[in-house]
Amino acid sequence: MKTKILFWIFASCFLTHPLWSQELLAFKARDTGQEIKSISQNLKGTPTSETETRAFGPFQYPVNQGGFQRLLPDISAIGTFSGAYFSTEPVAGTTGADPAKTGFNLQEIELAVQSVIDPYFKADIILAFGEASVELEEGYFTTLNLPKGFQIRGGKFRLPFGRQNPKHLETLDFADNTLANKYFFGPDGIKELGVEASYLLPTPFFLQLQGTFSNGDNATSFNSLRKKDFLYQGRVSTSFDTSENTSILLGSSIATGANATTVDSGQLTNIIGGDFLFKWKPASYRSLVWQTEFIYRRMNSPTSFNRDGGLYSYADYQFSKRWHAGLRYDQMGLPANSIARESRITPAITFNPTEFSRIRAQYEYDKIKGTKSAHAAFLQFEFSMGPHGAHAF
Amino acid sequence: MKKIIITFLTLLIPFTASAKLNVVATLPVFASIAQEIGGDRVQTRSLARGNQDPHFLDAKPTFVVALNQADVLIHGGLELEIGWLPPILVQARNPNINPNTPGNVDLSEGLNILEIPQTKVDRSMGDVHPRGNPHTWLDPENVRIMAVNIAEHFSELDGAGKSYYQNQLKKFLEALNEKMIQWNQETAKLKKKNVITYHKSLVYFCHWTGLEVIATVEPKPGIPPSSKHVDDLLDKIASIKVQAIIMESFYPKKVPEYLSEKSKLPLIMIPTDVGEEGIKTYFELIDTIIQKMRKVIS
Repeated sequence: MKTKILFWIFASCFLTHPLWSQELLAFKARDTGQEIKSISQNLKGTPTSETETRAFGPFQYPVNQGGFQRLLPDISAIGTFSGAYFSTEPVAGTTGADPAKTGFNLQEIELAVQSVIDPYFKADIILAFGEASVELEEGYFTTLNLPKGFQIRGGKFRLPFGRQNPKHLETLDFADNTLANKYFFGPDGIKELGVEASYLLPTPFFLQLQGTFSNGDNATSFNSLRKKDFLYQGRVSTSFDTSENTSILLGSSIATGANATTVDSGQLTNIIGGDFLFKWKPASYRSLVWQTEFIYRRMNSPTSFNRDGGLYSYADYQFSKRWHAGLRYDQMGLPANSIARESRITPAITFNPTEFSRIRAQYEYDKIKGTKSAHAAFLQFEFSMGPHGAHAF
Repeated sequence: MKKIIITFLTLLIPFTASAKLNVVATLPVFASIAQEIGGDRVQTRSLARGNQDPHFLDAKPTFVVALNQADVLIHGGLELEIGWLPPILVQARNPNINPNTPGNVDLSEGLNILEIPQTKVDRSMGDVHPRGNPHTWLDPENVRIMAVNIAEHFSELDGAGKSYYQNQLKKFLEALNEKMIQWNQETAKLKKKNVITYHKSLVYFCHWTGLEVIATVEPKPGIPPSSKHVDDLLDKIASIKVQAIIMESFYPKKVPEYLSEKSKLPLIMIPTDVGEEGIKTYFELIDTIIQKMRKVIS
């Protein structure tokens, strides 16, 4: 017994002795050809059904090495709640996913189901739950395999008009929508049933054309009552890096379709927009975004000829991994025909404990021409669970 | 009219016809390995720069353009780039580099993956990677497999260059083997030495060298340290012999500097990618890391 122990002690000392391990470590030059062959075989025949078993009590059962390879789509939910104070309560029905009243607000619970369908398509389904309602926020397929540069989307989707409209609540840098988007496209933005064809030009810089053809059900600016009226919308955008750490994106959008001001004469609404984005990202956890967008609408009716314009401009500065500070300015009435002149200033500060949760405090000073100035303050909380597809730039 | 069409077509030529394989890698280190294998037959570029956290890049439109024009996309896999690569890949509208095509090289294939969660994971564990730790390239054994993987994809896409790629691969692996002899000798003294790292990004390096990470500055992956965690770390340092605090340059330096000052431990900034500190190749990268560690770990 004693000798056995002594032997093991000796053996282990010998094996771990630095000289011996040096010997072991000294790399024998390998036969490279043989090695390539074996690695390459390993790469080709990826072991799929390894029958490793795990014992549990008297039972042996196979272990699923690949984990959850069950071809489930990615399912995720994002919840946005806020506490709000308004000196002047907003008109019911005009707020969409924005905070709607003094007190606690459920802004939105978003449920997303996303997956690649086959080698040719992927699909995204996004449902928006309110307290008492659920709505199809988006539901569309995207082609993956058309000739280089081309892509088609079909279904219900947020139209690619400007920078703000295509974005979901959780990707906004502020707790609520911008004034211009709200007044021209309605509280929830313009999302339509239709198709989009887009093309990325083979230029050395980013140049993208997007065109959509849709029902035009948007009640704020379109929604013609005639069957033959559709909404035509397009966007051209370009982007380039101005230095290692800075990029610029410029876009211009147009939407044209008949509106609902008459039953049968097909009065047109034309909306044009221009947007500008500057981003500076000097380090992985520091960045500055400056985004500005101008939207101009001409909405005809048999009795009037309304021209309205509005813009917003904001800067959002991320000064550490978790903290952002933002300042936004909204201006309506450039010119003012059917929509009153209004200015709004919005500072906000955002704390992201992780990428999956967010706490945001925001204040708004709002002045509509001819009325008393209004104040609002929000404290917003947002969480995100599950694998949610990463968002575009 | 004919003239106009011809002029237009000739204008397009520089963007369509290029003899070399256009290779876009997510990280500079992947690009440099691909360049070694591809030699004169490929031109490589990387989306990230060496001093950026590979988890946190912007899905910039210029990246979309790069992918649109790429013949090959090389990425680390294991959800390393999940925060930014999937949307630009869809926007790039390039069927040649879609997942599961010859033009899409997932470098995690065939590797011995570490830290694959064995139980159900959730995000209270921080930013865990359900498919295993994706910081794979600091173990040269993995790079060996990556190199073969890249060569196979290149050979499939550019059949005429097959023997060229095989030759380049052989040269690279032989050089790597030689380097391994040197590195294994150099890292022998790192074995069983305790260090603290910022993120769990040195797992593969430690698996190779036997260096032991006894704690991370982040309490959980992706979660910045709390003051309590810093106190715990100081307690730990007091109780166990720790040799150094190691971090990448892109992480916030405040807490590691505080830890270093309080505990008198050296703080080493190491590069984990090509492109930092003038590093041009994978060999130089590993050389630099080892030299920096050897200076303070004994």
